[in-house]
Amino acid sequence: MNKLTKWVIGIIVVIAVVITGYFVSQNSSKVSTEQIKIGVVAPMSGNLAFLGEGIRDAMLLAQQDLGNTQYTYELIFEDDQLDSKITASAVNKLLGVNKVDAIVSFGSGPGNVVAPIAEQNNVVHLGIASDPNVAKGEFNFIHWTPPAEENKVFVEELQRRGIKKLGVFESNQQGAAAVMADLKEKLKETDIEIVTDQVFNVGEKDFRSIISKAKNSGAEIYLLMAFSPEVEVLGKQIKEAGINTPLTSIEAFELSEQVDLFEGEWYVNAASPTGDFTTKFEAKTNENPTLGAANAYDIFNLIVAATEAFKGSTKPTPNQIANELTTIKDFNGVLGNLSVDEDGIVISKAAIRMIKDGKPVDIDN
Amino acid sequence: MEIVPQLILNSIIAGSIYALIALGFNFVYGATKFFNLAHGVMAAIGGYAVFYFAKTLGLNLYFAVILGVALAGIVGYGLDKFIYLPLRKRKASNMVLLVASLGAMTALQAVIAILFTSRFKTISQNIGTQKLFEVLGGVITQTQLIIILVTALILAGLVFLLYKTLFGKAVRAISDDEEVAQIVGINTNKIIGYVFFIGSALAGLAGILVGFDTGIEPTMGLGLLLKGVIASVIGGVGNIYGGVLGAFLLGFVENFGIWKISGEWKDAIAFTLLIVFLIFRPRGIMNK
Amino acid sequence: MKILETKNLMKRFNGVRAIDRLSIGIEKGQITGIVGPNGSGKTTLINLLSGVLEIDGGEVIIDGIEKFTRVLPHQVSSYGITRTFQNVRLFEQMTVLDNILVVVTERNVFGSIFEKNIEHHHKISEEVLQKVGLWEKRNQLAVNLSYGQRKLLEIARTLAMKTEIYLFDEPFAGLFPEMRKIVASIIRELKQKNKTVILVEHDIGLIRELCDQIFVMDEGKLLAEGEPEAVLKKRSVIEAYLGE
Repeated sequence: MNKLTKWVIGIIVVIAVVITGYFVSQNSSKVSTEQIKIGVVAPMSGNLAFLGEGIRDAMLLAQQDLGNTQYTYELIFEDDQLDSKITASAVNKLLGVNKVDAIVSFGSGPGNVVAPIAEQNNVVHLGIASDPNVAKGEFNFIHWTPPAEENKVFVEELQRRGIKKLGVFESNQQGAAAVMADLKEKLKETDIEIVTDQVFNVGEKDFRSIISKAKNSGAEIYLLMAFSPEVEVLGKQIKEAGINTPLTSIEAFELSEQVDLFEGEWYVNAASPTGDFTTKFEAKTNENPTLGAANAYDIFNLIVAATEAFKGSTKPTPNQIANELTTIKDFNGVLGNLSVDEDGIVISKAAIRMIKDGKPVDIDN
Repeated sequence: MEIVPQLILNSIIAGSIYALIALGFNFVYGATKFFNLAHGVMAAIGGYAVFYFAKTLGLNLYFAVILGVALAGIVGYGLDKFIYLPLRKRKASNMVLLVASLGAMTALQAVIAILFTSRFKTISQNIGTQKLFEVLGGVITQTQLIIILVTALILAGLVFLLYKTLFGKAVRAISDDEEVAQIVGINTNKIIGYVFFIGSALAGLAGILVGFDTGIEPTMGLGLLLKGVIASVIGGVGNIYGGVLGAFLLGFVENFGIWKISGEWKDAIAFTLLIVFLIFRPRGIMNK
Repeated sequence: MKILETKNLMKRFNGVRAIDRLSIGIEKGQITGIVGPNGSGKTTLINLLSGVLEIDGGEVIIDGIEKFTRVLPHQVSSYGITRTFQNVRLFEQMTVLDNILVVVTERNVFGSIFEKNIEHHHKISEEVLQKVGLWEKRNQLAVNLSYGQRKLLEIARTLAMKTEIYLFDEPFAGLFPEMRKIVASIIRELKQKNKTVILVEHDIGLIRELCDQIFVMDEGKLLAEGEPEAVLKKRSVIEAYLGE
């Protein structure tokens, strides 16, 4: 073909490229001005997959239940198997590939991994975690009945029942350690004595000898600060050692699959979800809400509330969302009345429950 | 001081479990001089097989146990026939075989996790409500008593097999000098295949018993194997008696070791014992 | 008819020809000696014939029929061949009796677990152990025997296999005269039973005494063959030995 034709074709190609590029960028920026992306890291496989699935189902439920809003909210789920190492790469993917505005994490270990990354990358982070360290920084929040709250309720219950001697089995794991440190502080101000304190490693399956060590301590009740599968094996082996002393825990029993091991035992748990939420969740999944599911539901709605409350013409930045979050008071969540405090902690009230007929029930005190 | 009888019992229980693993491991190592890392996953196979047959399919428990043991043995036999033997025929070094066994273990564990999820499961019918026996000042469950008895029986059985049957003599001959064994006409590959079957079946049995006592998870084999290896190194690798001795020694050191210090040190104690032996007596107590 | 023949047998180690186009024929029912200076390839030849080393070239023919270029160690016995080692190889941690029993047993694994024909096996074991004078020591571990006793046990083991062809690699080395007598009489007895014996030896006196035929090897090649007296007088042979 001759020179002129070549030039004409060339110009047409250039124009086509420019027009395509314009429309593509229009579309993507059109999406980004209206959509808030929320990345969620939780265990979707492994021992605790049932918890991650509960969180996922709860958030999808919240998304479903959403009425009319100014912005749209997209959820992206990543599996981290509750393993901090995997959390880091999952978060990087959410930031780099999906360009999320907010991240939701589960567990104190993963939460502590996400917090500094969120802070550095100017992304809002809400952790379903008990460790207050996770909430450090402007961008970080946790929604979990704080250990301080739970311990307060626990100590009150011990005193109400007239218990003076407490035996402790604790796992040297991040979440458990934080709670125990605070509890020990609180107990110092009472006349309740820790008569035995046995520490073990995660992954241990043979607790028989530390149980033997604790057996004659005179404890009136044993506190099991451990998660699945250790808590079940521990509970089983305590019974097999012929010990009939009551067992209690702060949250661990509900994490277990073998709740009948703890039939009749009372324990402290984070705030209970409303009956309404439980019904909706059961309708969607045929299961009881798992631990953290209600928190996840609330977190979705807290993000929405903060985003929608923002007064501005364009989509709020994560920084602005974070600022709005800190102003939330008396929010009506499924975990009850929620208020965000200055440390980024969403405060909810702890509950005392008991396993009855294999199911957790609230005890009124 | 009343804690001592219970600590002794706990040591014996732990030692029995380690001994079961070590027995199968040493049986195979003795004949092949090969560190079969996949030995651990046979325990998981046994445990999960019983879970599937007894809990999911609802078969009779004893029948399920027999099936589980047999399945573990068959998988071990299959590994030898399709992976290790071809490698041995090509004069592969022990390093290569070790890596192959690691690969087999990882693959099998992954398959179990896919089929059954990684969730910790129990295979016992009654959780926490077992019959308890009082023995010499301590308490022991029925399952634990069975574990101790089974270990003793297996030890006796293996010793009988090795020293009183001609099959056992052939195994010992192979263990002594494989080449000469071949020259005198022993079909070493066939016999090694059976050794793998027996060793793996024993691991499966161990996994089943551990499943009844605590529970099963896909990665359970690795932890068990590690203890079995430590027991074997202490007692003498490849030596049937050595493995058992090492196992009980390990059990005692672990349980008495944490008497006065925190339970978190248990694993550290086990590894310290291993290192001490590796440095000062690598051939183990019973090997010359 | 030659019970065992090699045709252009070859074995190389790092380019050096340990066995160099060796073609020999062994007569059935005879005692054949393999002699030669150190390093001439005698033991290598035995190793090739018993499957311990791989053949690099040429072939081995048994009974005029079976040809093999590579025999695997556990097939050796099925070809009717058994051997002893220059550095005696026994099952050290097993008893004298077990060392024999493990050889005479059924090859059928399940049969061996249930020990069928156990009397029969013990009879054969007793027979060969009596022959070498080790029956009294049958419950001792092989590793605890004296050097001479170990050699005798190894020979007893070959007898227990009841094969056709016996390869003995320096069976007399290091033995006291009384034991030498025993070994010599065993070898003669084998010949009487029309078995074939191939004997690697340094002791010229014994060679003269026992062998019907000898092959002289030098640097992997066949130097001379024939009846001992005649061969040993040959100049080339003497030179080969003196030259070492």
